Amino acid sequence: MWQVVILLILVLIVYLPLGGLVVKLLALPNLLDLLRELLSDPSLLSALKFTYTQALISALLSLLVGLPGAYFFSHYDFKGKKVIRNLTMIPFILPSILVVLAMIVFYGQQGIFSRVFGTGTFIYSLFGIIFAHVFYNFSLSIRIVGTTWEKLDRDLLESAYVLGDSPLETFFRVELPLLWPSIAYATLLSFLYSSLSFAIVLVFGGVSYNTLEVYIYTLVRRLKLDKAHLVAFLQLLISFFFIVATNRLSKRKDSVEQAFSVSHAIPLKYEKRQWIKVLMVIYFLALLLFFGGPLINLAVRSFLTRDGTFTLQNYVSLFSPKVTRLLGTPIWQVFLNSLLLSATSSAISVMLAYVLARYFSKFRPFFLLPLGVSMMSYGFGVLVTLKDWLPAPILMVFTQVFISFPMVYSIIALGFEEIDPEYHLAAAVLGSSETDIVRRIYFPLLKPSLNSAFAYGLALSLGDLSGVMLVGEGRFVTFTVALYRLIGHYSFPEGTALGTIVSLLFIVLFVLIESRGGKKHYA
Amino acid sequence: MKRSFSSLFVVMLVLVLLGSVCVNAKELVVYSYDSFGQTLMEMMEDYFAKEFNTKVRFVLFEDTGAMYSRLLIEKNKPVADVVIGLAEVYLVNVKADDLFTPYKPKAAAKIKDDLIFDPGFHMVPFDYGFVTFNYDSELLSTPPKTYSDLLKPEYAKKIVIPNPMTSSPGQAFLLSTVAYFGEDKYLDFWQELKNNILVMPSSWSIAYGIYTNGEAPLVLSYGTSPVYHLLYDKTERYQPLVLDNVAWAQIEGAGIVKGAKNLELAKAAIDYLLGLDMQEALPESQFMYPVRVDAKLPDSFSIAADTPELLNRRIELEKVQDNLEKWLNDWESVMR
Amino acid sequence: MLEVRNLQKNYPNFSVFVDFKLKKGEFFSLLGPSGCGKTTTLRLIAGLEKPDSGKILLSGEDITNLPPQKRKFGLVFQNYALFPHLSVSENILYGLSKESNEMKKERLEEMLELFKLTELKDRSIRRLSGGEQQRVALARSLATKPRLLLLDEPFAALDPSLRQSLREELKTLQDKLDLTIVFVTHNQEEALSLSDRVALMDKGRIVQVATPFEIYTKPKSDYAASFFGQVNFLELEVQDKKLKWGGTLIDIDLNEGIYRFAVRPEHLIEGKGVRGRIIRGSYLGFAVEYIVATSQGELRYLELNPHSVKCSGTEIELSLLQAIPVGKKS
Repeated sequence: MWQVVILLILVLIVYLPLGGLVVKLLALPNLLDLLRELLSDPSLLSALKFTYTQALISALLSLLVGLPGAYFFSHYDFKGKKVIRNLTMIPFILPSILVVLAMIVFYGQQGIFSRVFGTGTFIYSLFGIIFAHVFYNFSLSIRIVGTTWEKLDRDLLESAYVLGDSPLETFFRVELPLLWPSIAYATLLSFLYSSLSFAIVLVFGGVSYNTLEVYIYTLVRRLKLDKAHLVAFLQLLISFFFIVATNRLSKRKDSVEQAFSVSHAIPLKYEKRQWIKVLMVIYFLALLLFFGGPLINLAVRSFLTRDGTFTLQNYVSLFSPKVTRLLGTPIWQVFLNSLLLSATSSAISVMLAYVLARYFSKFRPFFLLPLGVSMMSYGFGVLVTLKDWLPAPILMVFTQVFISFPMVYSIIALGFEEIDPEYHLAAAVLGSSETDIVRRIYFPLLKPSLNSAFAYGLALSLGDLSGVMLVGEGRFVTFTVALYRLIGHYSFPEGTALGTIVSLLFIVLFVLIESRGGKKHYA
Repeated sequence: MKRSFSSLFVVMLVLVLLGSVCVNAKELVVYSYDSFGQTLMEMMEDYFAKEFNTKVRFVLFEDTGAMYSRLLIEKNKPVADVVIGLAEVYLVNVKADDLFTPYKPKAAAKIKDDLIFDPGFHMVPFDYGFVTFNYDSELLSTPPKTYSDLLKPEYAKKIVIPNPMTSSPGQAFLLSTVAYFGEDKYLDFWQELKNNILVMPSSWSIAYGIYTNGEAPLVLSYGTSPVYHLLYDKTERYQPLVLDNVAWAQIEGAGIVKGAKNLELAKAAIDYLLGLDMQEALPESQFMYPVRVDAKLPDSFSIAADTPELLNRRIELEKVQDNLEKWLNDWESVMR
Repeated sequence: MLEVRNLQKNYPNFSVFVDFKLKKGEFFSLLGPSGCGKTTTLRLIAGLEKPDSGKILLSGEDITNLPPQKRKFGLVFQNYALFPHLSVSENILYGLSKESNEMKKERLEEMLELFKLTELKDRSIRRLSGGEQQRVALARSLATKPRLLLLDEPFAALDPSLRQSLREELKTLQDKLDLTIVFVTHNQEEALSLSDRVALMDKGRIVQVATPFEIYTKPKSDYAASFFGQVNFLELEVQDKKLKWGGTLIDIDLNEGIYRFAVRPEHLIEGKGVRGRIIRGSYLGFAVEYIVATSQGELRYLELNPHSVKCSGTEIELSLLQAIPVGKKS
């Protein structure tokens, strides 16, 4: 029964506002005319085509870039593993404005990269758009696929080796089929995030490429709100179609939970062969150069004056009355706000997702629905439904749960797929109570998934601007609000300092979380 | 597990109840955009606390689009009393949507004539800035002086303009080309300018970030942008650039929401906004010009662009409103 | 056929060092408690671990650095490691992917028939019983005609009644196909009943290699003696090639001194020798096991074909049939 209460909480947070949006749309007297007008607009059709084509390419490339990482992380132990794994998530924490500028400063015509490799203005192209999306999303494949891979029973692979398959053949014949749902969902998430991209498309693609988000935003700026919401609703339907399709495609004829063994939840590590070591070094160096480069460059710049000499001024300045005045909030309070809000909402998302993944697995596509709606449309729904009768702190958490929930849910639901129901039965037969089963079976088995889910929830929430602005009315200043205010007020260097601090805090936090209850190793 | 979920639920319920009890007493609600200065907000709060023993609640929005759509949503049940920061181009919407109550402020006579875009005072101008190019003098020794200079090959891939479709200064620049070249010629200008534009980011912030990071030496910004760098970075490296001695002014207005609960307080707010205290505090907080003729400018504004001719008055606002979408669409098809 | 020469593998707190040879068609068991290094040894042979030193030779060819793919061995894991996304036939055919279709078909039918799996060929792995899974696993590894079959505790996951019959099946199979088998187990009964030779392992070392009969009757150490069932350890004196047992003397081919002996419970019998009193008796069906308090300490004594169960407190005298010397005291 209590599970239904949890479901109702999610309904309240997600579906009620979205329902409000839909009801408002249906109540429009000229709905059909609007629809006809929209569907005959060639620029909408071209936006649709481009949005999903680029999203698909971005998602597939993100997968391709992330898979080797997932392989290395799941198969080998090496120094700095946790740090690197969390470093790959930084693009998710940083607001798009900072990521975009970091990329331009590194890859732009005056950037270090271009000066060394003579690449000129190559970043301002379709390639740049896709590159930036891969930069954002490749960590999803590393994390989501890696977590499943880690639990894959090593005996299966060794059986294949002994039966004559090379590691590559084994990958295609054994690992890929078993990892398939994780791969499908990691790709779906990258795909949908890329389809909602806005700043990246405009910066790197200019006017040449029109996406749905740009189309909607333009409508809002022209105050054609009804039309904007209608397009947002179309976008929601399309996303839902992709979610349902992925859900179908990733279903297997037979459950294969037994491929993921309980003993391997504490992974056995392989010995690194020499050539593997070489490949790993090449891979991580490439990541460091291509994706780390822009961020490191930005971090380095936060220690430089405009003339290029070393300074701590940008950091000191963050604590100065000038910045406090600009932000309206002392910087320590900004950190506190961000941390409190994202940790609370991410924790709530994790709890909701845990229960819903366990008891309502049939509704999965619906739980992923928020992925297909931007904060603008959801915000409108909140305004017409919840705003008047719920206090701001709760609404604030709602917006953040809305942002983090689908990602958190996907990760946890995939984790559940890998738990053999027989463990549950065995425990029940042995007389364990439900709480006992949760504590002794599900939590240990799900721990890697729960950690990843929490990390992504936190990162997504840290990077949110619209939700916080919508409810916080500009007076609740989080890291992202602060960053936008700094950059919007000529204080880009201080912005880079703030971004650097938050990234470091995030990494330290998650390395600590993941070190909790150290892993055991079997000889 | 079960218990922690129930307690979570209880906590949420309690917060809901608390929230509904704590409905605030009388307060003035002001809507503005996110970059409205903290200094100005505090001045206003102090003033209303002292003079009227009233609190002021500022609600800040991500951008003016979000602010305006909120006003539309709340039209029948207004929350805000005063709105600060809607650009001039919104006037026609404001009138059509019947959102504001006209109020002629006490200091109306002191406002520079050509800034009064609404003689009916639905919206009252309170600050403005020229949308002009800026250049980085360390990267560019010979800045363009005219619009046609911009088209020279030497500026190829050196210009950053915030996208007119998504940003206010960008849109203002598009309007200035329409005003300067005329409706039939502005597209020719853009057609040629296209090759020299490096990138058109979604927002002014990104555009300006690209510029200050040395990626491009020419950016479309405000004539007052260099003031900041002079004040805080102590550098004159960044210089304003008024082409052909004309520029579009982004005039920002304030207004009283129709059906405001605190009409008298709202009027007082508009008057305070146009008071000398506020007008003289504006420049170094918003990096915009005050609208009052008698407001003294701070010394730092000496680096700002010289006052050019206002392009705004070359086209009527109604015409802008009627044609903006067409101009943007035409522009888009040229730029594609 | 297989020669494992001074093979060494080091871990932080543990090392494995083994050296043994296998004849073609031999059933060779690696026996020992968990953590003794027997599975590591098997993995070294399979090529799944790389040794730090030593050599593995197969029919004289050095295969130490050959990857597992090229060794052409069969390996059955304790949990069978069947591919859960494939059916029974697909699992069996897994190692034959590079063969012709005809060959595959032929081999599949052969295996299905041999392991009585024809009915189950399209079943998914998840819907097989433990015994069926084990048969599929064996079929999968034998389908490739391996040069050597490696079995890692293949019976551990099955219930005892099934184990017995599968053990016999395995033995028949070995004879039929002339398989050379390395078998890892911690179960001494399995090792004794199946093997041609048993290598007993302890802490990463092989402590004794012998035929089942020899290793049971002539263990070389306390460890070896006690590994195969209950055993009494006694210190007894030898004089003039005679072992002193209570009032009796037994011929023995040992020099003078005090020795440590292992005496199995069934090697005691009622008769002249050492007197004692029964403390406890437990009925096992085919025998009764008694704990008897004697001057030599508490002894375990197994009475085969019992007519009755004696009460505790009953006086009894035990004579000694056989004593295995496991060390010299002085």
